[in-house]
Amino acid sequence: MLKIENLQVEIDGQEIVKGLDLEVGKGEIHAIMGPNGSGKSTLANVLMGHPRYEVTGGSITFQGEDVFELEPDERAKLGMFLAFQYPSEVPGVSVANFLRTAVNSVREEELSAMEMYRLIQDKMKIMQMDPRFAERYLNEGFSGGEKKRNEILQMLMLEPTLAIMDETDSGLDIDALQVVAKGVNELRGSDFSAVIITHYQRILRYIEPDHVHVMLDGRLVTSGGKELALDLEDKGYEWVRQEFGASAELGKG
Amino acid sequence: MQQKEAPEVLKSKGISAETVKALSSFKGEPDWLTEKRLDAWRSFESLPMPTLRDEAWRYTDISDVSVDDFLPYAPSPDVSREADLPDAVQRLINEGEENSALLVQHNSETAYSRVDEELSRKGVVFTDLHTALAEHEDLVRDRLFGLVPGDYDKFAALSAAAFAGGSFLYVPRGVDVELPIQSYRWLDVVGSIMPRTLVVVEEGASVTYIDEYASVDDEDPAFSNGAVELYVGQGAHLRYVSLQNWERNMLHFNTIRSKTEKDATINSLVVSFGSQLSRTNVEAGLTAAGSDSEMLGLYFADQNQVLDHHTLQDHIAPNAHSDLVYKGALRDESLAVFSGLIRVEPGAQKTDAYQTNRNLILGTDDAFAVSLPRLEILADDVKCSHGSTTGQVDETDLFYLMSRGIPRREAEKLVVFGFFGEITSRIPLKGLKDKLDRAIEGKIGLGFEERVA
Repeated sequence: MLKIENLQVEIDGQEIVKGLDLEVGKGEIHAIMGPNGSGKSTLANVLMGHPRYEVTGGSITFQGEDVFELEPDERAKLGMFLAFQYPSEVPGVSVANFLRTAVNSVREEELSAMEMYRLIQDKMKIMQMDPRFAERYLNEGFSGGEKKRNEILQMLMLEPTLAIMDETDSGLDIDALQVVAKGVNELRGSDFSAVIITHYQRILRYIEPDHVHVMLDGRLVTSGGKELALDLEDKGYEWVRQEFGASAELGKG
Repeated sequence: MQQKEAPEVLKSKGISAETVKALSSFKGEPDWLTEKRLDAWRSFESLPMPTLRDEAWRYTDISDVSVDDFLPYAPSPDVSREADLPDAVQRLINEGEENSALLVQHNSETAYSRVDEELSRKGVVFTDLHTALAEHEDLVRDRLFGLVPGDYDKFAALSAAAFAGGSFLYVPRGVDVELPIQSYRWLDVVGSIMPRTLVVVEEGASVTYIDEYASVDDEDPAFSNGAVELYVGQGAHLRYVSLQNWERNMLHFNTIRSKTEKDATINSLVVSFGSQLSRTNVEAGLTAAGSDSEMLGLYFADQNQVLDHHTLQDHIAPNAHSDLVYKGALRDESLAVFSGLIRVEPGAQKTDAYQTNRNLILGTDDAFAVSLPRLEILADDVKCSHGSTTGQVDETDLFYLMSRGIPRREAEKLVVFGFFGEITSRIPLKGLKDKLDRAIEGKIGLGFEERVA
């Protein structure tokens, strides 16, 4: 359902992603692991259409559509979702108002006030959030953990077919991590795929991936099953650098 | 009531001592008022027109403005029923707040007014200033020009000399007026409109009063010059709203000053959407202990509009509180000026005073926001703070909202409405809030990249 071919991305004239290939099938969970600065977050943002990044080569298709032809909102309507590493704070816009606008936009229909209220309350329960949370301004004054829960809450509301999770686990304590994982597992099924971008393998204990890829210097240098994550945990990224650094420098084809 | 034919001198452009005398005599005013008008006229003549070299006018260029370009007075048809008012005015009324009293100033005259019987029974007086002078001279005499005197500045001098129409509201002791009272100022000729507002809220009374300005557009410039005097008695409460929504050919000058007695509260909201150029001075005098002034401002400048607000929180008495929040959005090539001063006099210990100005620039590098918050504190036991920010709508914020399926225009709207929410959420008037929302939506128009037509 998602196909990335030879993707190249620049930011402010500097090449960050240097020819990346990835294919994610229906119902698959992929983990992309890598050290800081390997281009993981750039990949996540480019998938969703962040205006700051310039795609200089390659292609991304999702559900058969060229995503570069689509605005971020159109990508969302097609089923893509990005859980942000650093979500924006939007003062004056309540979580409830934001969720209502987002859900109605994605579904292209107006839910009644009652249906919307129930939907929000149900999903907040799964995320173990206080109902009053809905009245707070979007991410304003939220703790790191609240922001991440709020991201997953949005995901549950929008029910995407592809979720990209950009370091959703970073900065979370074990309880919060479990809640976040529970939210993701809630959607898990044959119609839900995910790309979990992370520095640590910790989150993968709770959300079991089908495939693990290692990203280094703007490319995926090796791939495997979930055991690759454990290898990485044992050996560290220095091992990846030694093992694959040279080939990364050489580029692929 | 059949209106008299106005004297000839009021039918030619410009103003002179003759105009002022003729206007006063035409209105059958008492001698003391004619004298005050003429005094003010002399002040007007002796005060130079402000220029960019004056500190208070450093950013707002009015070198093109000359009173000689405008007719000083324009008559209006007198109507006896609301249904006979111009359609546009009826629309304003219908879209506005439910009210218990209403006055429509059409050009220089009062076209229509209505006061609920129950209010009259309680002794509430709501009428134009000329009628008030004729019927309630004792209530008006010491207060008219008391807060915005004829020598206050060039435009206040002109207002005192040449005002016509206006509103007078008197709420007697202990009377609680539940529904708002509303004045509309409507201009449909190329000329000038110079209303004044005088509100007196006696001890323990409470009322909401709204001045709303609207007009018919024209190629040629037109001129509005006003003064608003708000007296809030001991323990009384006044909510005052000024909604300036003139068409783009207007030049608007207004000075709003209030005085609060012991434990009195005033909430003011000053909204500036319209006009080509608008200068509003808003000054709260906290003259007695325990008085409280909330000052809210909301403006949205587009095209090449200039919207200028100068505010003063004047703490004279101890133990008073004031909280000012002015927020503005700018787009296209507009200019917004905010200059605010908190002044705490030596005796005003235990003052609590806050001031915030925030500007949001929408998708342009050509709009310019000037923000000048200042403190002048002469007492030592006070809590005061001020803050000011000006920023672009963040593309990353828009991306975040869009990534949830929200189209760009909707995302822009969310951000702008969110920005103004801090102000609108503090106004307990549904009809007014809806009106503001519609005006803001109109200003956002087709999105940040498109110019407003």
